[in-house]
Amino acid sequence: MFVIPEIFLAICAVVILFITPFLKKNSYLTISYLSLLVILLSQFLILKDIFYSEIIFNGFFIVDSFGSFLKSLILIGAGLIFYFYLTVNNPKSLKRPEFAIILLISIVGMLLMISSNDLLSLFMSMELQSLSLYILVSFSRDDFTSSEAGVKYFIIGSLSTCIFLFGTSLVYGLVGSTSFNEISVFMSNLYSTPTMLIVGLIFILVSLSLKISAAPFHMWTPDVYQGAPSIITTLLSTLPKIAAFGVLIRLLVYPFGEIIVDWGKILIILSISSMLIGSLGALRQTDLKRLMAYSTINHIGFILMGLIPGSEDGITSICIYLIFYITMNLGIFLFILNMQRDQVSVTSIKDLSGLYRSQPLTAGCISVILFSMAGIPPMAGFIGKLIILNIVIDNNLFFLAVIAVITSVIAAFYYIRLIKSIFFDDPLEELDNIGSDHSKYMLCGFAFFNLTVVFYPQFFLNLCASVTLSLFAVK
Amino acid sequence: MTSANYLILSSIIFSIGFLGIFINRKNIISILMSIELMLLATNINFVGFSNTLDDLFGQIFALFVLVVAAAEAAIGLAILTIFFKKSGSISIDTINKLKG
Repeated sequence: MFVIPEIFLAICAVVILFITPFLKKNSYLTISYLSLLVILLSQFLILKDIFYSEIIFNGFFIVDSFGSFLKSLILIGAGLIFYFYLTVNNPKSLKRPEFAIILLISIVGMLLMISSNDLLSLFMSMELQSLSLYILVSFSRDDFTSSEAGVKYFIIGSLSTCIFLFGTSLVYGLVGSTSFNEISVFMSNLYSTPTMLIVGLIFILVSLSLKISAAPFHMWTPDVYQGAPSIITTLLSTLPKIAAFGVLIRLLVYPFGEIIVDWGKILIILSISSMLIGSLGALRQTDLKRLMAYSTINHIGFILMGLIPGSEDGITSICIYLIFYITMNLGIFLFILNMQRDQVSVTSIKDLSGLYRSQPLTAGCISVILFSMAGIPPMAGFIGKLIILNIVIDNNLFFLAVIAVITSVIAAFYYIRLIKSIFFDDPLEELDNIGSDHSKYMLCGFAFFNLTVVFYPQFFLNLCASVTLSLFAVK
Repeated sequence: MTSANYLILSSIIFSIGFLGIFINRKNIISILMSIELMLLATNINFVGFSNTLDDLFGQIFALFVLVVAAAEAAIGLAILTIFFKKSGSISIDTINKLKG
């Protein structure tokens, strides 16, 4: 019923904000535990009504099981990130109560983005999300790179907003409304597609590609990922991507579903260039966070391929890939968060060398996750890639499948180079042991998940197929 | 005035803002100004279309855009202040620590 989880989260964020001044020392811990509790409660609220479907607030928002699925995925990711934040040895500049509150507000924005059913509500929720993220990226005030990343992210993000608005205004001028339902009705009565509509759609697509960092709109990604505090990089590489993909899928499948011929071509260009740049750009990187940025771009290109046919199977495969993608990324970043030498974070690839000798268990877990990212059977990443490639070949897009496989091989090179460095290189200077047992168990958990998905892929297939049904039921 | 005239005007202003971000080589404040210019260009579009379509929704959208533009300018200036404290300058040439 209604958007109760979002309303609950928003109210709780404000209440927590008002509690903060009354707390004394170490208030950031109390606030983070409270926020974790709030996230768990809203996860419960979402799961309670996961098969409920309704259009609410005069067509501004839609509640359906596709949205609820992505929302609960976001909330799981957010809960894990809060858990990382609480258990990892954070730099002092991050130990402030505002951190958790702004993070909560950005999560509200992401949840609202997924349920938007109107370009106005989509715009407002996207702004809520990205304005909070600008602050979070530049949160580490003592750090020069963090503020520089903040400036870059802000400029690119605002540019994306402007482009989105211009596209929206063109669509509004033609259709006379910004509601997805009205746009859909307008499209079904068309004999030929007006140029202005295509131009508007291209503007909106460019803006969303900036949000999901698909090439050729990826320029900001490596800089921002490297400069932002590691915990925020973890957030940036997972949650906003899920939200933006939710928006992209809903927008392209429902209101603009009639002109699939036009946006299909654009998506082909986006996905090919993302896969190429994601795999080739990473080859000469020396910083682990920068490398993960290129790896993200490569994965995004792969996920975009699933959207090109615009079919139910394609979107099911995207949902499955998103689940695996966030588990792999959270695993890697949990390790990056724990990479410290003498209590100071290091992120260079050289620091990985000889990790196997000092911490064999961690090294094993990391290599399982890296193999999974490279798409080597029988890990989770392989299953995700297999399902998407299957869809692409079913739709006779052979050249796309060939490019995808070739770029995966190139990408496998740099993942396996990391594994080689972990197992066979001589250690320069040993890294600190992973401090807390929590992190160690979590890392083992992620590796275990990636390793054992092969025994029950049917569960994820059925789950994702049942939630995507609701997306096509609206038509 | 037809809607084409509004569209031409707003496109020109939008392009000026867009080029302002990329051609500008001096300081970050002028980038903020360019972003503001682009947002206001879209507002011209919304209000113009609202007039020709005889539909109030465009004007409401324009009001929302104004609100967001104000919030964005506030956050942008705040981030710029932090950056200035660290680097001692707001010149674009100083944003070059992160590359590779």
